[in-house]
Amino acid sequence: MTGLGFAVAALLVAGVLGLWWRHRQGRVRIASGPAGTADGAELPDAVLRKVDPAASVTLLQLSTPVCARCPQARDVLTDVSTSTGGVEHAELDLAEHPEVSTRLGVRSTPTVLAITRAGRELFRVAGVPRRAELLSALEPHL
Amino acid sequence: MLFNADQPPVDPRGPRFAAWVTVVVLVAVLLTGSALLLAAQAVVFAIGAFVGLQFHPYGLIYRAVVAPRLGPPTEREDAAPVRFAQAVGLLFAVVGAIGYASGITPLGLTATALALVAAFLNAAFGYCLGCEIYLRLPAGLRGQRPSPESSTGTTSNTERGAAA
Repeated sequence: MTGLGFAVAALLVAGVLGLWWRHRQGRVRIASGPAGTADGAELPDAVLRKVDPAASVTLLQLSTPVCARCPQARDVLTDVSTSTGGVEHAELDLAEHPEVSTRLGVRSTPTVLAITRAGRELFRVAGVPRRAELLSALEPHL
Repeated sequence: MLFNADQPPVDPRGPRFAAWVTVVVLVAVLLTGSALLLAAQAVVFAIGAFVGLQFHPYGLIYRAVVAPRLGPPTEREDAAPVRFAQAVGLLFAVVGAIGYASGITPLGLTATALALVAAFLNAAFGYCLGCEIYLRLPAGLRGQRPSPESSTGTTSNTERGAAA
């Protein structure tokens, strides 16, 4: 029956897409450009101002006022920054700085940027970061 | 744009429950080929999109039957993207119902199947496709004042229980 075929196909396609999306959430994505953003341009001033010069890496959480998973991301970053030397955690409200989301191509929150004290983006994470993966991505830079 | 009228944020579990009911209804439509059932689902979508989530039939069931058994919500999500997503569902449901009613069965099957993909993504994974589209619309279309730079999609990533 064709209806059954379409139903099964739709559920399978949705299942595969959903699993792929879930797999990508919270994963570390390495910056493609040499300096800050993908095109090699510097990170926006509003971002650089949040970088802690005393830390090897600043984990900057990009948030918006209505953001259901931001508290969870905050918890992960607080935990990682307090338990790991050389890592600090900061937060930026994209609603106050819309130019940041345009420049960096950030479309969803929470997004976490890992930035060196020199102002270079190491990687970013969309969604709530996975703690273990975050720690191992940070390690070579500490 | 009406989706951006002042609306209170919603308990994300409500839309997720509604998505499951929608999945069941759409599967039933595919199995029966019923234009009437799909038209009824279209009405449900329309209520959610244009009247408001608080009047959504499945949302009413959620609040009456499901929510009392759960604790209070730990977070809330923006209503506007959800309403837009309902409008997208409405579009597919209308096209599908027209397809079934006028005997163009492939149209009915395809439109319904596409709506089912979106509904299942939402229900099972907490990924709201319509919401993601809404959040990428230029601020002008969303009824917001455009930001100083070129329009941007500052967003809330909706927690629909999607585990990382």
